[in-house]
Amino acid sequence: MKPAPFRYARPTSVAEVVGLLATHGAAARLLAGGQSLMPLMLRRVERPALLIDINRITGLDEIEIQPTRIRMGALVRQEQALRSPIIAQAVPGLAAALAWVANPVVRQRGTVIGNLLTNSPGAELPAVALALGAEFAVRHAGGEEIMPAEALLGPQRRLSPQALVTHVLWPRRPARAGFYEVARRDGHAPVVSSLVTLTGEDCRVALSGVCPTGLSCPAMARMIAQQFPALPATQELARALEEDLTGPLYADAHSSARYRLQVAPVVSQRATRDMILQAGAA
Amino acid sequence: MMAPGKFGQRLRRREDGPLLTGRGDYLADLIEPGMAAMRVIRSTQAHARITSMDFSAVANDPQCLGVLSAADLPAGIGMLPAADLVAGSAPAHQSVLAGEVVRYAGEPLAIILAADSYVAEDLAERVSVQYEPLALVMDVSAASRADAPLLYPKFGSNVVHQTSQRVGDPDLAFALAATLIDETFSFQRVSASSMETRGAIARIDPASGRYLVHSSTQIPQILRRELARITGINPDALRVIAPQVGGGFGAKEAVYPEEVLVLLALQRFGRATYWIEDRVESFSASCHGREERIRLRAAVNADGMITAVDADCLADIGAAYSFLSNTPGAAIASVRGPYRIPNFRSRARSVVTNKTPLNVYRGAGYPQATLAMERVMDLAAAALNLDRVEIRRRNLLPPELFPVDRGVSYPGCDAVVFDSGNFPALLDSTLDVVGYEGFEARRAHSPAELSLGIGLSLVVEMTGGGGAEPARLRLLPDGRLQLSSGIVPIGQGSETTLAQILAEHLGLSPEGIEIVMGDTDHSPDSPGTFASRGATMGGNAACLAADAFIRRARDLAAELRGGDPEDMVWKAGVLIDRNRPAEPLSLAALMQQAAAQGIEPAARLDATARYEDDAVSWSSACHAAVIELDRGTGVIRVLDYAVTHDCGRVANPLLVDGQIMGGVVQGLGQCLFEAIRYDPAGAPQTQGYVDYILPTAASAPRFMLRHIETPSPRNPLGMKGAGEAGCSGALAAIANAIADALGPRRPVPEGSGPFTPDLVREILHSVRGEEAAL
Amino acid sequence: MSDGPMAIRMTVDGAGVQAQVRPRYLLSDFLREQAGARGVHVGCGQGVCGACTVVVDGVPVRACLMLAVQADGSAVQTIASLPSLEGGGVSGGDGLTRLQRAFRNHHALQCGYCTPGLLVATARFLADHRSPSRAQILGHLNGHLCRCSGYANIIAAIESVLE
Repeated sequence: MKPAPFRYARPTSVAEVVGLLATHGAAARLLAGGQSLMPLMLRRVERPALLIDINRITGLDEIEIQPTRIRMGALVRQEQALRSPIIAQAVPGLAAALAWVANPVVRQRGTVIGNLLTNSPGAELPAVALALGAEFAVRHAGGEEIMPAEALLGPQRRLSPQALVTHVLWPRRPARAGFYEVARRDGHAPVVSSLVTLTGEDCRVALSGVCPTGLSCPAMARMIAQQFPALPATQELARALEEDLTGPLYADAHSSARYRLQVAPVVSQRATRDMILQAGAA
Repeated sequence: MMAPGKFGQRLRRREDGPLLTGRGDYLADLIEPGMAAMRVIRSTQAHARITSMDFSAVANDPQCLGVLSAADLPAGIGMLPAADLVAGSAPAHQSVLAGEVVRYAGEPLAIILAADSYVAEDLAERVSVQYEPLALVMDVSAASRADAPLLYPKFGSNVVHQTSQRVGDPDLAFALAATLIDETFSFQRVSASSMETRGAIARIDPASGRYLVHSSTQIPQILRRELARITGINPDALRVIAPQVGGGFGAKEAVYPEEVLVLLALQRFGRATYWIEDRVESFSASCHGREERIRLRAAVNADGMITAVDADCLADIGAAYSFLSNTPGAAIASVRGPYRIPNFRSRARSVVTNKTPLNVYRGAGYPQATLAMERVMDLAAAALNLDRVEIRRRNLLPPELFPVDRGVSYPGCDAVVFDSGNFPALLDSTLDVVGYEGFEARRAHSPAELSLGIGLSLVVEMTGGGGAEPARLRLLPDGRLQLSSGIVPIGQGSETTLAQILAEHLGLSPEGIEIVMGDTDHSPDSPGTFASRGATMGGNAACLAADAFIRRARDLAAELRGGDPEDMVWKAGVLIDRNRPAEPLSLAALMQQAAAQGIEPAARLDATARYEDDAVSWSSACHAAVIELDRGTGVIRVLDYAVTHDCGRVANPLLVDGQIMGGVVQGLGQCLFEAIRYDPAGAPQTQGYVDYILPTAASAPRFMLRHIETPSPRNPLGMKGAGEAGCSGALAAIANAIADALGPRRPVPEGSGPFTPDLVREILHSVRGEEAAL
Repeated sequence: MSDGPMAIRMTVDGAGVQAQVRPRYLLSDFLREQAGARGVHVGCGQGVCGACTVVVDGVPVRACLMLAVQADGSAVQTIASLPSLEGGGVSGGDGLTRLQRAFRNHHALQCGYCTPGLLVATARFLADHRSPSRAQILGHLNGHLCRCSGYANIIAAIESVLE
């Protein structure tokens, strides 16, 4: 359970990282918080020839207010985002979800973007990014581009090995936010999680763990917005979910696809209940 | 009026200082620069013939400090031991390294040495092994059929061990029964999974030139004997030390290949060698626990009396015997628990399969047997429309019958005779503390989506025994007393407990008593730490040694004063001369006087003793679990957990409570979370704690613990063991609570864990026409 | 960019440590083997059990998920630094901090293997949360596995030191 040998680079600028990726691309891995990558390297499942440690790059740990977006750098830690008053006010859905991610020690090292890009089935944040309409700022040798969350977090990931995700951009949207999650055990990997946010009539519903990648659920969202402040029944949410399901279901050793599908409306309903009970920023 | 720090007090542990400050000496802390790191090359196949093992990629690598495969082992090397076999058992012993055939994924094939564990792992990856797959046997029912593929063709069967019991006339009782209950329970495979993995170091003892093996083991003395037997080394040339052990729970109560291999590596390559098990490895390299199937049939009268029980246990013991793989049979012999049930038949068969060997794991078969009996109790009550508590009351052995001969026996226990107990009192106490009477009101007040359930269990289990226990008590030059005990510290606080027992016995303060443990130089003949025997056996041995010590002190005092030893009386920590009662003699004064007369006191004040009595005693407990079942998500939480426990006289209730709580949470883990899985090709699917879910603090219930003491007449201290009772009753109490929460119309699954949210939702949906969602 | 040895230096519990290490050498192993910090325990080597928790530049981390080279130039604190992590130092004749004493009094440890990492993480947690709710304490403890104690005494010990 020791990593296989690798070469190690510790660049101090984004340009340097991009240069290394341009040369080494698929044989390299980027190390930020390490909470996802290191366990894989320790089991020798990941065996990069080159490990690019980005933790010393300055300027990537900021949460910045822009006119319509909150811009969050690749080194923003999960706990930092959880405690940020900017996020609490402008992206409350993210704050609500972060409280359920892992535990305080992992969150103080793990990054938001790292968690997003690892994109584990069932993980809370990728579904949230999809539902909230987040975007990624991606740098490569040719320059920078902005990519929608679907491009990196959907079933077809389109992220080049030569690219570095430098920022995630969250739409500024004060909202009521509610979150709920079911796991095999408190603090263990999420099986199904759901975020529900409401701003006026704009409702967003994120669902993780039902499909291999996160789901944004507009049909469920419409129903919740229509019935607000009443709580939709789970059977109604289940019917709406059928519309929102776009791809194959996910299953693993812990929970079957059937269970995930059965429990998703319950989880979304509880997230909705949590949202309804919020003091309300909308 | 209790004197401070003595027997019965909730004394805080003396061992905590170093542990709290990170200065505990665990196995890995004893590794020194220059030692070679050993990596074990393990089979990736569950059942195969090895057609080749190619070391050529590493043989000439200067980083490779040595390689050993089966071909390199000394001729005549012994097999690993199995301690609990009955006559006629097939000799399914494990070899130190697999020879031609591997029988489980993870079985050691070879070892490779390097300067550190990183390089050793690199080198191991470059060894190429070719396999020719053989037919897999992954299920115990399939394995026990006549046409099953055989793990050991020469045995003719995969059933390698069998015991049976018979009391009274069960056939007649079944023929006459008003109601029959017939249930089969499956127990999943689990891993003891202590937070410290295993490890071993072999070196030459610089002081004596002997072989010195350190191992994270519960049984250093047995390990020494077995290492000597297996390798042919003279036992006098071998010393084994168990350092501070980071949890054992039975998985470290075995003799493992790696312990032999570090010693062989030292012999072969002349270098001190260490091996630390990594966590991924541990899930296939360390013995598993619990996997068995129990079919329990009960004959019940119209008045709820259970007149007979027939128990059939099929244990999946994995690919070979471990040190104690046949204990399910022992527990099944006691499946009737605290109930009269005058007629009884049982059969326990151990079946080999292509999985990691099974060993004892906290409770050693009693958790499973207790669940079977206690589920059947609830089912019988339901069948007869009797209250669950009432049916138990009617069937419990009353206290006036003790001692009770149960009419059964098995290896390690010549006759099961319950020494003492008060089962009705246990039941009353637990019902009281858990609020049983008010429970229906509590249930009614629970929100619709959360179903509450309450479950009971009563457990009687064997503790102690294991063989005679030595102890040595002597006076050190600085005036402190030193007890040498064969008990091994694995976290249970035996040091503090033994000091309390000894302090009480001697009338001294425990602070003045030093305890040394775990070193075969000090206690070569102790069996070690298991079966909750540490306090009882170790404590009784310590008192015997203290008595011998006192005799020597009296002799010495008499000699110094020119008097008669009969005139010297030991009282409250000092010697009192009947002729000079106003001048009591402390040990310190005795030392001074001896030295003044040219006598070396330490040589004289040094006593050994052996506690030889058959000190198997029977602890008992009544458990009650209150669970909450979320009908929407299927998630189960254990809210409250009550235990009334009887382990005879309790030396330190604080520590006993700690053992009970730890055991309960391990049982909870098995009920709700834990399972070792294999895929259809026999490959282990459990690689770490993402796969293998352990309880965390959020899983812990609110505990309500009480004690009843019915002293054991079997040993002078009146003590019984307490290390396992938390586990032994927990599976049953929680399973019964889950059944209660699901309601009478729900079929409770044949399996007894883990009760995953998936499974719960399936059960909730299984009654037609009912909406399980809110 | 190299896979050969790199020179690193850090302070561990206040003492300077320098070494030449390969990039893949884990911080947990470095601390134990080069800095003599044997209170850093490796329980799972996968970042789940929490036994290896240390503090690096004020942030609690799983030492088994960090490379030694990543702590180059950092201040690392292990269980030996608990007195300053808690902020209260040791008091009373037993050489223990308030938290350690609470653990002992409540019998919150048995084999002790998980204990040092748990204490380090708890000290940092309590420094960040003066009056945590029970739910917050349980959330913090989700990061620590203990196989011996059944946890109830650990929760009680932590609650006992809250103001």
